[in-house]
Amino acid sequence: MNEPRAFTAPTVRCPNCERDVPRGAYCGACGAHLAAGSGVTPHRHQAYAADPDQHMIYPSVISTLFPHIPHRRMLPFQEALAVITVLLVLLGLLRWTGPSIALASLAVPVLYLVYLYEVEVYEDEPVLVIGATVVFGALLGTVWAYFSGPTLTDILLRNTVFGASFSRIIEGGVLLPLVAQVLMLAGAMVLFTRRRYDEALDGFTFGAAGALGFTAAETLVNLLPSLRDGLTSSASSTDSLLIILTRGLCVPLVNAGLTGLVAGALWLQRGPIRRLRYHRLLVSLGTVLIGTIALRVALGVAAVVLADPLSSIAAFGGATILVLVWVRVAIHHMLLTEAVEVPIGPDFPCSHCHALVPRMAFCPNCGIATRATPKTGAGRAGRAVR
Amino acid sequence: MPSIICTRCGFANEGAVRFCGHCGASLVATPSGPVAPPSAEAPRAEAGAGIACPRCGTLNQAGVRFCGRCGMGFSAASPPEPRVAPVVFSPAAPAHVLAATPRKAGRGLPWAVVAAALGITMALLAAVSQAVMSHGAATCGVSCQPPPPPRPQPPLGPSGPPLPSSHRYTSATYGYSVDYPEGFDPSGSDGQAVGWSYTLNSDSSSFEIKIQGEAANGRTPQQLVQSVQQSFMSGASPVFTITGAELGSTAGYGQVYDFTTSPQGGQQQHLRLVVEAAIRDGVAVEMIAASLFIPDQNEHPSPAQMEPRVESLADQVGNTVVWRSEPAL
Repeated sequence: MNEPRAFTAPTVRCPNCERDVPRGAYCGACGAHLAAGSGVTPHRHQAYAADPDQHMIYPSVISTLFPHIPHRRMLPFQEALAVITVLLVLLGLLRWTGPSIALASLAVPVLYLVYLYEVEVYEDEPVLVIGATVVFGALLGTVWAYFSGPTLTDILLRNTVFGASFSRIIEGGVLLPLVAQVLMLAGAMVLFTRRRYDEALDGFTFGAAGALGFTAAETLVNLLPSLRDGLTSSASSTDSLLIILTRGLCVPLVNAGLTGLVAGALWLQRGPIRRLRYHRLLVSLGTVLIGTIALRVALGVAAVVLADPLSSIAAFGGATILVLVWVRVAIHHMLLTEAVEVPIGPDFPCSHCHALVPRMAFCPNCGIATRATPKTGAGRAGRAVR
Repeated sequence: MPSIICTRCGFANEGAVRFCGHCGASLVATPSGPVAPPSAEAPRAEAGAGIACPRCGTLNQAGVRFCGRCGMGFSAASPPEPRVAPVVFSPAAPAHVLAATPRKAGRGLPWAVVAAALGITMALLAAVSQAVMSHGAATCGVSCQPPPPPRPQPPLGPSGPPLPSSHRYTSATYGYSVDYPEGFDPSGSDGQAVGWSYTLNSDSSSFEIKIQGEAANGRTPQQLVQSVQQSFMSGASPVFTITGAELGSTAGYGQVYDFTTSPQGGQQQHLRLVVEAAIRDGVAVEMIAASLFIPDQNEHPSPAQMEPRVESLADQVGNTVVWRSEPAL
């Protein structure tokens, strides 16, 4: 086995960032596509920065919410997500109260814990990071659910008999969802002050992890009263299926995506950014906050006004697709705009394309952002510095 | 100096070149290693000899159209950006990849542990649900058709003397009136409607009852009931029709609905909704009552499977409805 050699490949001046970079398909410093014949494409929409084999807009939950996972190691996660979905459908149709509550509240958050373990986003502080995000989020979610659950039930019951009033819509559809969103972010904010986690994807991951801890506890506490129904739910099979799919898939994905987006945009504020067309529109803190608040209010009002399971899954299903697309576009642009300085290092095997490439912010061969690779192994030594 | 014949155009390229000087095709059959650093084999540009590549400085034989080293075209309109075939980086040795990006599977990826933990939790909650399920009759959903409600129900609250007139609501707009028991003052009323909104202390489940008037406008009681259900709980499904439904002494129509809601951020609730309507002299009065679904329990039969006290209060209030045109009770 050959030892990694010092970088000797010829260089070229990248027209986008005007640096001398190894002459590969991508600029290793700014990630722009340098393909022959087509000029320079700084946005490289055809190659998602966290998984260049996919387009920036591509229907993959794993490469969107689990961006550190290398393409070749996605399969177990995709299979796990598929198994979770099939089990949720089965348990929903069978109306098995206990197992479906357990699966709906815990499955996706536990999958995220496996992801954190697999790529070691927490570096060598697993207790601190998981404690501050998942565990702290779960504590907040438990307390919040005991307060907000009965309040929302009361509002719904009143709406059914007296009609939806303005004050009840403001309370249940605007205030409660926004406070819950702030609580989901709390865990990530604990870690905001630690300088070592300075990548936008760190922020995104911490935000998503905190939101999933919160969601798991909130769903569990809110669904536990249904256990008095006994082994089988008293709801119809259709209602039970729609409810469990909304609670088990849509709600965690929306909560993780939105919270991750806000945290990622916050993290992006910590260092210099590279200007890119539309980046302000896509990843600036203002845009992300406005979009998150708008979506939260829309979903909250829909939950208070359209209380039946069919409307609920329609609203949350649509929101899930919207959030996943937004998260993908935002992660792509966060990785491209985040101005990281990585001095050209010795060759190492890229975790995505497995080519021996000089260590840089982006792989010159496949274009993956080094920050979107696991923090284990060679990736640990090659983290970007601002 | 050896020459390399281009397999695409047949041009004889002189020297150790990587790209055909005539057509620009790559002459490297398979990528076997990283690009070699500039060496003596790639002569640097010298004045007056051949064509010097403006990008990499390699001296090319006269007359070629592409740089043999970097593949850059020599046409007049050559753009400054790198219109080059990118360097093909060599794949790393498998052992090297494994060492650099270790699979944690080798250290025991916790899939089995995770699946087992989830399975145990599911089984645990199944056991809990079995344990906390009320004894006696099995619960049933909308498929159950409960028997018609027996009337009258036992009175709610402490029994006392006949209700004094102060416990009476009279609609200013439609002229109907209802009486209500001691201790259940309406939580709100206006010219058309009166409502009770309570949280029962025992199990903190709330209930709502509302009596409202409107002009019948030629509609039947059944149409009124359906219209109320559509406007207040459009997702509810009918369970059974109340036989012999009446408000006060006026025959009307009544329906029990089933409704499950599980709003994000709120508890999952299985609700029952009762809507009754009756018409006299063109004035319609409607009673709407909602409570949590209560599974059948042997000791507390409730025909509509509502909170028994709610059903009782709804019955009691509904029985006292008096239209303006009929004599007071």
